[in-house]
Amino acid sequence: MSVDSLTSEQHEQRSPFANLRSIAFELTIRLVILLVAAALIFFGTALIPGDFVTELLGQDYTPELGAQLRHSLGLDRPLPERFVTWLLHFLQGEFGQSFTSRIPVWEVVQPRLGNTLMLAGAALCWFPLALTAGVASFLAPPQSRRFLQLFMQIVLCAPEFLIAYIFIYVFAVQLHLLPAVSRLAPDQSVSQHIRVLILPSACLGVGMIAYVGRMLLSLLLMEEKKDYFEFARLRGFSRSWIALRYAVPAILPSIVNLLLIYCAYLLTGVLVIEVVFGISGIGELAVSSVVWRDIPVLQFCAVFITAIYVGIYSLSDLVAGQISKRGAL
Amino acid sequence: MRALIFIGFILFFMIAPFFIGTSADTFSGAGPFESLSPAHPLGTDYLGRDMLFEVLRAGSVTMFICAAATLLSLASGLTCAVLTSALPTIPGTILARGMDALNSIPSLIIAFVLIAAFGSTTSSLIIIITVVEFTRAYRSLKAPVIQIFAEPFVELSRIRGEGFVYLVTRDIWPNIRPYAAVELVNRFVACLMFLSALSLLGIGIQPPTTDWGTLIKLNATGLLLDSAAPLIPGIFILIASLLALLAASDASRKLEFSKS
Repeated sequence: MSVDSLTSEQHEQRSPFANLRSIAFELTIRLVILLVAAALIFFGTALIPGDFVTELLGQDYTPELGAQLRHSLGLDRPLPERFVTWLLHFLQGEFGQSFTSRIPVWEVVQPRLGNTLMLAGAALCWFPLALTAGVASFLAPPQSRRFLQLFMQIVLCAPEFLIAYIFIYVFAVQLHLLPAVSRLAPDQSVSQHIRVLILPSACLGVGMIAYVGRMLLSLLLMEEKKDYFEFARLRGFSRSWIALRYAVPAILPSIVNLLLIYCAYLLTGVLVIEVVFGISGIGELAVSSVVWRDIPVLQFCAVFITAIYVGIYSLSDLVAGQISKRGAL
Repeated sequence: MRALIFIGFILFFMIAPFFIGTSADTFSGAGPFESLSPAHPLGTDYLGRDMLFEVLRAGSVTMFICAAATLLSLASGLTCAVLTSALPTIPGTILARGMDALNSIPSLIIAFVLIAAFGSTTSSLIIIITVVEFTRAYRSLKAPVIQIFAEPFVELSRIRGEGFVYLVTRDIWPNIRPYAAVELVNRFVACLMFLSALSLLGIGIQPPTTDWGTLIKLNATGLLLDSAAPLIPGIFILIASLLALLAASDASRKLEFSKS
């Protein structure tokens, strides 16, 4: 074991770019994966039955007009060629035109993107509380720690929409504290925005508190078994002091990684919460594009969300790589 | 024991509608969103139907779809895990990277695209949930499969000249079974959550057929009328996932024990 780590260390010293090169290699693979994912999405939407052209023209459909439109939309080309042109247009920022509203996809998406980002940002504001929950459950006496663990476990088992409906039932219907439906409009003031976002972001935040809290607790429990913790204990430092001063900084990269993994989860969690609270965001748009078979909008939402997802996971793997490198040293 | 409770829970909901018969369709004259009473132990729904019967009927749909999707995704995930380790390097790598690509699309997005393409009939939903979940099953079974392939007894069988079928049925399967059992439980919960989320979004099971997610969606307005009706199916989903957690922790403890 020690021989292995020694040789790898020497190897790294010999070529300082080895690490950078492997990162570049990983990133290239991620890009290829993203490309394959985009192809899967494109060919998936190409499977949609029925003819767009007949649906687009509706009553006005005549065979000549249909053929003309099909030609102008490029739908008479073979599928692989259509994929390449679609991809090239996509990379240039031309996302096509929505089938249902007949305006460019980007104009449909843009106002909703802001709402989604606002909700995701509001959900991330609960992160400090999640950290507190993790550290607090580590420092708590065994009896209350077990209770906290049980609570986190139950929250993790609950689907986010159940949490959402329970929150609406308790805070909006019974206590009349917050609105049950979250309407986000540009004409609202900042305080109105905050008031509207508390409940939906809390639904996502509770899950984060349970997940991050639980992982943090087990990480800290692992740190507690290490020599330095033991040594500091023997030197007479209190458990809480060691945890906050030494253990938490020691596991900081893992905490960053937890946050990134949670961001990836947020991406899909946001979709469901948006629909429950009636926030007009990307998720709500994607669902309605499925219902109305609005292909360009669906393609954009799918590729866009997948790209962010792959990006977050690449970042998280990068952080995890740094952690394992530190562990090896 | 815990596993038996979990299986009992699933089987109960599967067969329950055969006992309640048509009584769920008869209107009892109750108003919509009535609260709990001896006549209606779980209250009534948005049309004044008995909520308990509705939950039982929807539960059977939920359980059948989830069971089918779970078994399919576990079988295909396990097959892919064995294939990536057993195939020669190049096709094996291509398969593994293909799974990575599929894995890097968020599950809801895969479902959106496939539902737009195939619609939300029961059979297409089973296939769609399988497509989403089998990569997850593959990911958690891949490591143990690779580990078992590296064991000396597999090497021995290979040297003895045993065929692929022998390797898989006699060497791999008996050793992967405990892992598969844990994965089976985990997949079931994932399928349940996923199906419910799709139905809640309105692109899963379509009324008049209901599953627990649809039931929540249909009764959601009751929340504003001070009725807890939409929470009830959600609580059953929570119970299912808690029971699964207990069963899985039991199974994985057995796994730890057999390893040591």
